[in-house]
Amino acid sequence: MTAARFFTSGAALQDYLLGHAGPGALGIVPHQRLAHQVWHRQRLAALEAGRPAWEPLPLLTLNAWWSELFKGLWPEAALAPALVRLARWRQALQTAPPPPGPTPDLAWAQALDEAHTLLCRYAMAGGDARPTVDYSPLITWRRRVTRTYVDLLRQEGWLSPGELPAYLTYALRDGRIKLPPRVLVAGLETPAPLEELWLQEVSRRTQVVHLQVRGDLDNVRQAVALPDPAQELNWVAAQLVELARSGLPLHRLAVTAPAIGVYTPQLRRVLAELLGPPQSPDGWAYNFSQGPNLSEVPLFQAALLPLTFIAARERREDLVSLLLSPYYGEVLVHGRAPAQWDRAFRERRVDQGWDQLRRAVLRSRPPEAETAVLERLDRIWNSLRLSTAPAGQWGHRLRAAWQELGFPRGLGEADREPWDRLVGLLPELETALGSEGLKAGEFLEWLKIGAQRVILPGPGIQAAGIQVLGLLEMRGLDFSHVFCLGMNSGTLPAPPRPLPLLSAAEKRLVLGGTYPSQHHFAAELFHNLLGAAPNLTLTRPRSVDQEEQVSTPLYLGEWSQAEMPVLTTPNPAWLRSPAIQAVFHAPAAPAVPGYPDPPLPFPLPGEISLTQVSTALACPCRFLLENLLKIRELPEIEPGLDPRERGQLLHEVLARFTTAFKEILATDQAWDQERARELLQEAVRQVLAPSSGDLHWQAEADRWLGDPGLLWEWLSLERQRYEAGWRWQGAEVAFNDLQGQNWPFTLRGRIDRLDYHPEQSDLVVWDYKSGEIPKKGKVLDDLEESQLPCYLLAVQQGRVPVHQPVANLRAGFIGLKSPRSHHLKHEDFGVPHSIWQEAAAAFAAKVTALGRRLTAGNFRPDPYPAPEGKKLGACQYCPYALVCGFAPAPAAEEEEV
Amino acid sequence: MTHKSTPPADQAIRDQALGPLEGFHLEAPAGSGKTSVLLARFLTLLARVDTPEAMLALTFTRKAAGELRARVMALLWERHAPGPDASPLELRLRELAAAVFQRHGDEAQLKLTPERLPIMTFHGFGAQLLKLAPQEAGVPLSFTLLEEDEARWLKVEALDEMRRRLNSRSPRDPVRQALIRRLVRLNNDWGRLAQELSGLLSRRDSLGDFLDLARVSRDAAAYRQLLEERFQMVLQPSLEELRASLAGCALGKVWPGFWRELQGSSHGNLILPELPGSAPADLSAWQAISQALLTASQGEPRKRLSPKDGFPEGFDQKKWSPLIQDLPGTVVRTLKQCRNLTPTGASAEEAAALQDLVILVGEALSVYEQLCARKGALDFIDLEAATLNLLFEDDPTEVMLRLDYRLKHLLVDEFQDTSLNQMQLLCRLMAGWQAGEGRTLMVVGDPKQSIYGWRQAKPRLFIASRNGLPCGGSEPLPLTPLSLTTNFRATRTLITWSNEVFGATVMKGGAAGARFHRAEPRPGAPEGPAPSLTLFAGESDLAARELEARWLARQVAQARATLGKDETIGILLFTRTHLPRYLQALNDAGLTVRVREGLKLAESRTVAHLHNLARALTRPQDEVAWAAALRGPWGPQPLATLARVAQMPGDLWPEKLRRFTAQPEPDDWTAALPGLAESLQLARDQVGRRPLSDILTGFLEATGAWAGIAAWEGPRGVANARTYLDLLAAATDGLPEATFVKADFNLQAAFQPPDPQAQASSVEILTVHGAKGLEFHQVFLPFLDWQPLRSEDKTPPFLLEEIPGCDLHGLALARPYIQEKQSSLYLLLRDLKNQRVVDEARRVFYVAVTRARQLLVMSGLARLDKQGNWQSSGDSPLAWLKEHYRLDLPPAGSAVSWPAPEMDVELLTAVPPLTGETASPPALPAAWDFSPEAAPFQVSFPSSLSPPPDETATRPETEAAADGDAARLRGVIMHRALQTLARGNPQPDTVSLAAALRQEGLTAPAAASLAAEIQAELAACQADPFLTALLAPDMPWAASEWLLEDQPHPGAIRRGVIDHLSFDGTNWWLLDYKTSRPAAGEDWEAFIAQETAKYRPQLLAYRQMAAKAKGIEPPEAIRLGIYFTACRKVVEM
Ligand code: SF4
Repeated sequence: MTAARFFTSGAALQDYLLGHAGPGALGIVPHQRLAHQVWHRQRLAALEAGRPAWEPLPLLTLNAWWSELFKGLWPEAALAPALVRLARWRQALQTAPPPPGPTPDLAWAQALDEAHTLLCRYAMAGGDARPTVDYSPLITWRRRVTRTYVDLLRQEGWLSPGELPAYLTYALRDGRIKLPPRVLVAGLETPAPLEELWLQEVSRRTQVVHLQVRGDLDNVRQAVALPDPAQELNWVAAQLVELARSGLPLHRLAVTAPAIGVYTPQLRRVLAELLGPPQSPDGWAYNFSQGPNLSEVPLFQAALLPLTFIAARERREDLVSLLLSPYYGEVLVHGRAPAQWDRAFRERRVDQGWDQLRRAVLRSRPPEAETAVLERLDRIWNSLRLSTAPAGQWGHRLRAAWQELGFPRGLGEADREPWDRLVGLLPELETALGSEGLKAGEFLEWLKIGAQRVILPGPGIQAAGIQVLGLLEMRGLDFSHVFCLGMNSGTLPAPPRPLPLLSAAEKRLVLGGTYPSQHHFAAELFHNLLGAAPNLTLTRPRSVDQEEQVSTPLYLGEWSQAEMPVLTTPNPAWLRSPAIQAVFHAPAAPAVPGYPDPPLPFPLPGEISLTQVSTALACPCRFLLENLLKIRELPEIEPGLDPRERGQLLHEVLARFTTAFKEILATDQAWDQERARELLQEAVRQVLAPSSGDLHWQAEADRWLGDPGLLWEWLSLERQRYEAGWRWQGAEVAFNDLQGQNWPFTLRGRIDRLDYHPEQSDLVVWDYKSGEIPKKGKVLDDLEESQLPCYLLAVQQGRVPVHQPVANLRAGFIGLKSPRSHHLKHEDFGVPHSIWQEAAAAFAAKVTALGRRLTAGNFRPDPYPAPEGKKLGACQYCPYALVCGFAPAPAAEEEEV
Repeated sequence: MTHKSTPPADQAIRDQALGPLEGFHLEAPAGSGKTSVLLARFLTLLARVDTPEAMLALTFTRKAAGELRARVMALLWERHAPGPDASPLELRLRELAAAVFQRHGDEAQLKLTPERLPIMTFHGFGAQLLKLAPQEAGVPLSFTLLEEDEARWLKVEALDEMRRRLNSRSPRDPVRQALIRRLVRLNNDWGRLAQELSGLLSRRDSLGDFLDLARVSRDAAAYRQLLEERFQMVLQPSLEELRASLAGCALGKVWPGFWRELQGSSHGNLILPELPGSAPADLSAWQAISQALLTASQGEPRKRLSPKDGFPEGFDQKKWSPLIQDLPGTVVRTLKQCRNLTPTGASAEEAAALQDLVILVGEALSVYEQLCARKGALDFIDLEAATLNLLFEDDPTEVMLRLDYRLKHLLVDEFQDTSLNQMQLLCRLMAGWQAGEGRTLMVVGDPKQSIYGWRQAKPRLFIASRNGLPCGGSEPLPLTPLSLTTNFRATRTLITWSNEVFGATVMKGGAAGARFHRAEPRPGAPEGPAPSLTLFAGESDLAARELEARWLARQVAQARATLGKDETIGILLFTRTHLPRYLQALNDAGLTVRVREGLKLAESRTVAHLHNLARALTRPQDEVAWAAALRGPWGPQPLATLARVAQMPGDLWPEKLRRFTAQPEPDDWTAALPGLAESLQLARDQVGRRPLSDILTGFLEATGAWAGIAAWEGPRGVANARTYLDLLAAATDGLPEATFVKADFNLQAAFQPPDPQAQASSVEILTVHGAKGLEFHQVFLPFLDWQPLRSEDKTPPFLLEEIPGCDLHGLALARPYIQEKQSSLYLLLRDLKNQRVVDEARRVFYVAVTRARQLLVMSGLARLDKQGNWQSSGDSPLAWLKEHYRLDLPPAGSAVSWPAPEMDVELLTAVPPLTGETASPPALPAAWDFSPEAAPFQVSFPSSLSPPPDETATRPETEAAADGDAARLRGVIMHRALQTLARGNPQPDTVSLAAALRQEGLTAPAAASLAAEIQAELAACQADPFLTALLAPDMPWAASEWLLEDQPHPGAIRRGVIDHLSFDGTNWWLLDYKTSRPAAGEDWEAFIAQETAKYRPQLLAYRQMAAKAKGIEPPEAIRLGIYFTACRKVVEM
């Protein structure tokens, strides 16, 4: 027997359940949340009536009821869990090849499972309701692969959940199921055919009462359109604070939305900003009914790291993530040293491969401190480097890796549940995948899919705090005031579901497959929403991502317009936020401070290098940070070659070559080009030997020695100079103890090359430049490049041994940027000896002034050349911009290129 | 008010465009109200179709789709009576809406819903189709569309992954070798190569035949042939045009005479009596002509024709020089271009280099596709390609058949922005449509406003579609070309001005790739002031620009003061890079201005510090980041403190900080540090456990940083910081390092949010592109000297240009670093590109000036030579105006009016400074308070009264968790089976027990063996007289698995499930089943004692609950037992 009762509110429906559910009447609820609310009210009533103890009312969802009945029958088949089903679908996909198209992956398995479950619910999984006209090869294939899947399940004694209602209906007909005297079915407005069939069978044996909510449109107290979703959230949040202030208990307030998932991340942030954390020692502020899924929580991501490292080709970033993760206790107990490994990797530009990474650590760090961790990691990688293995073995090894690395260290309250669920997932995978061999990456993918299905609870509770929940969950609930966000068309109703694996005829029959059916479903939800509270506020954003929106067709009343620009108009609710407070208390003329750093007396070293003095001349603050305080930059591993390293190695090649060939020239006197080429090749080979496998260095070797090769061209130039009478005097010539008037320190340095012309008594000091050759004015007038004048001083002061008479002392750059004529040349700017002398003297004076400044402790930022427009001058490659606080004027470029 | 009732001059065209049986090509210039026509047609058709799905209106942006949809819905459903002021247009639209209702009658509620209105973007339509038939289209079953930022990020990831993969391949691998060769050619600059590959991936839809070739051939000759073909395809039309233009000009008409007179000179020897042809072989003849007619240095037409210049003695200079001077601009340009060309488009080396690059693009694409597939993502190119795939299926899919059957009317808005792919899509949708069948297409647009070349918009397609879409093959569906002429927006003066200037100069003869039609003012349009042009000159360009900016601020301030209600000012910029300077000047003048997508987020110092903080927290090994973290707006520390911390012992800065703050007596100047150091430490400890954005938010609150941020950068700084926190939250990727790296990437492209203080301002500064579709009462257009070609990279690494006259593309690579000259193909394509850029710039200028309703104020820099003469410059809006007026500038400081059309012109060399105004701060209300809510009661579970197993366990958690499962499942199933027995049902068999165990997650073998054990244990239990007696069905009262709640004390609720409670008439028994057993070697007695002690509190609680529920006094009247199922022993408490 079936009866129906309609209620104008969730509260009335709950009253009915409270009055009528009990030992003789089972309540079927649309979702667990309704059961909780009824139980809560039952408790309050019991306490009020002074009852010492009570049995909670029997309230179950339809699925839970079915599951309970199924278990009670002790069937010989088991209901296949999701992962088992996916694994069988995948097996079926392998045996029933699909029509041409993309290779079916796990996403296909998931889609097939969803389609199959849906078709089962709509009694179309078999052949009976098959549409008469069907063109699609895809559908034909789906039917074939489904048969294979069902066979696979049967063979292993599984039953798919879609088949459960039919199974139970048979059991009911056989008299194997005992029913309660009455069944009260709440909120099942649009049952699928199989659900309906089951309820019909039940109603033949016992009384079934359908309970439905048809809320009143008058409950909509406000319908408000706001400019965009952000302002919509801001507005709702402010309303919530206002209602709370008016004394309404928080748990009587609810926020919902047809697409709650879209709003959730931002809503979390808004509520946290306005109301603080969900729970505090003072109580509960709000509760999101659904937490994240397992795959989203940090613990899960961290847990996968050992496998990720192996599956993703041993990347540095995965290893460093593991080393820095707070969850790996055995790494942390070794102090923070492993964190420094990253510096070693970066400095050596090792980005991949355990062997190289390991070597980089051992080369740069004292090995004792690291060995224990390295050994542990060695053991783990060895155990995880399997080509394929069954899920059970992967799970086992992953667990062993966790144990070895002390994972998970310091499980907090919030981590406990994810951890338990993660540990539970491994055997589930083992059961689902059996002995099938998987690669590391595949196992990872399964783990992630499994984790995505595990929804974790939110941090709040249902009995206190503002409740945030989806619209589906609102069915039958009761609040004092509900805010429903995002009430736009396209959200309510949603567009038809694509259901690509269903034919058009099938789509017409299932819920959500067509516009009318989505509309119908949306109308049901809306009716329920209307009954959820006597005070409803509907809100909607007028535009989303700049696209103007239209209100839901289900509410045809007036929409008032409002806005909540919290940063422009002070709002008392939003003034709770320190950020918003700050906006309105901002000074009239805000300004980034000039960091008025007082003088900082700092002992200077007795001798510094030319590079360091160049830094100090370019900016004293940078000198302090880089050279005196030794605050080291953490280099980025940019793909490709580091220009500095490239320059260094090129210097090394040239030094090796010139030293070796100079000796030969000293004895032979004649330039032997063949020999020179051999020596040059050999120098390159030796210098590049450590990185010969790297494609960038291979390219560099080709650039140097290919056709045309930079070094071949250079060699020709050197030969011409040799033939013109120039002789290499020295390469990489070091000097020290260079002094100047009132310098607080002496200088040391190294000259790239010295050339001497015996006939002309000319001496030239050279600096190799693998980048652009600086302009003459920058070198001789602006003294932006210190090295040449400094080299000259070193020669003048006799800090560099020169045994021949020198009539003309000059300097210059040997450009080595590319073989193009303006890049590859000996550039001495063609100025006379006297100009160079002046430059050297000017340099000495500059250092004197610098010395005075540094001795006085004036390390304030003072870049030279100063940034101007787009040109950043001395700040160009300086990593300390945020430390020094120097703020150049805003860039004001004429044109971009 | 005549204009209300007087219809515009083109009313008949507007009415004609609604004809439901005919297709139209409607050209609708700026301000002509095209959306209203589109809307009217949409409603007209909607009133004639059975379902909305019979129509499809396509737009290019979601914004446009949203606006159209909202307007349709408002007309359909907002049924209030029109006011007395309603325009004829509005009345007409309402009539049409009423007709729609009449047509759909009772079904209107269901059919005329917004989500069913088929108004969508091309991409939205594609995505909808693909979701319906993913397999046929070859896309993932459920996919997400990658936004541009994400696609860029994925490309970076793909290129890096490709590089890593190639690095691990053998040195003989051909792709690796191609990469090395390409690197060498680029002077081993990976950055440049990556940029090149990423650029090509973003344009891969134009690379079709190159990628196809890479798939079938490794033969270098095939590449060279392809290049040669393309070279000829570009060269030929260019030479043909040159020949025609030269033949048509004065000199061309007397060419034989010119040739005759040249005889005997060096030019005479090379030049032919006939004009050369258009084959590559004719190039040398053209080069000879070029040498004769143009100067060697500048390539200008020769004035002097002396023997020194290669002309014969006595050559009649007076006669020929004017003819040469009058050569058309295109002739001069092409002749000049010819000089650098060779008859071969590309050398063998270049073909080989191209081959390398194409191979690399293919490799990069495959990695990119793998990454996309892994994420189930499509970018817009994939989306378009897959949609076309689907539509071009030979064997039409079910979806296609339905679409084909249903679709009757297509409308396309902004048709001038159509790309080749979109044109193909339209063609496919209309395949087979015949005239007179009742199916229609209407395309609407204005080629003069096509400014989205970077999105592959091709205005030529608009022009080519005048009589029907050029779909190739059979007769296209005929379209009737219509043009709207009335401009409802601007004053008569402004309309006349743009008619004259654009018609006669800027867009003369299709100069902008579009024909110019004069616009008419609407009836009753006011006259309005003439536009003005103010030019600036100074000591340097920089100084002059400062003057212009200051002047602009002054003018805007004055204009704002006289602005009427609801009137707006728009300051339009040609490129975004012009913004900082003008914004600075406007701010200096105290003007609050709305900025759309203005400054980069990373340029905010606050954001830079927040991002640095995220870096420091993620990477404790980053010393610079930690040092900088002490200088942020949350309490900047002096350098001296920094120095002290840096000198503390310790490997990492967090450690140094800890040691520093732990010092016994901090100096005065470190007073602020301990709090900051503690907050940093606290934040660092949370990294890896919570999202970085949450940690940063907490840190900012803990350190009171918001006040510091506001002090540094005011409300804008706060808004920036909040935007950054959102960006960081959106980048959350579980692992801190991955989150930071992604945020770092996204930050580069992120813009600052609008300045909160300027939200209500009537002045807005934005780019011309951003202003498309908008209008302002007054438009300020600074930087009129903008030269679009100067903003372009002179030597882009590659050029991929559409070849005029066909849908194919030419691809050329920039010369390698060792080579001095570019290839001929590169030069030709660069010219094509430059032409395209300049054409588009002309259209940008048109869009800019047509935004103004009342006033147009233009300004820029005049470059003067030493004598004060106005210098010409390259293509720029200012140069076009100069070309149009051909007048000299007035003296500095004075103004004149230039005629035809009238424009006020002024030259300034000084502008007085302007001081800002300050607004008084608003009065703040008190912040509302809020208190969390206490829970009404605490729910507890007696089962949790016994200590949890892991507290006593000595084994590590991982191991315990793994092994505990079987034991737990044994318990679950035993309890369930005992409940079954208690209900009088038979004992389940092993198969059923195994099935139950499998369902709980046990593997089949484990389940089978455990089921056998359980069954044996159950059988033994059933044989135990004690238990059998208690479970007997004839007990006066019994309950199994009995759920109960009670209140143990106020504020608490207890909830528990009692395994079994029964009353035999004399005794109440409460039993709790335990299925556990001692470990191997452990003694049963000891185990039982231990377990009993452990579960005692739980059982006592159950007894209390049961006693309360059943009203048994005292509770001790209930006998309490733990029943060990493994040994069938009951222990009574
Ligand atoms: S950024 Fe510029 S001012 Fe600051 S330390 Fe570096 S060089 Fe000096």
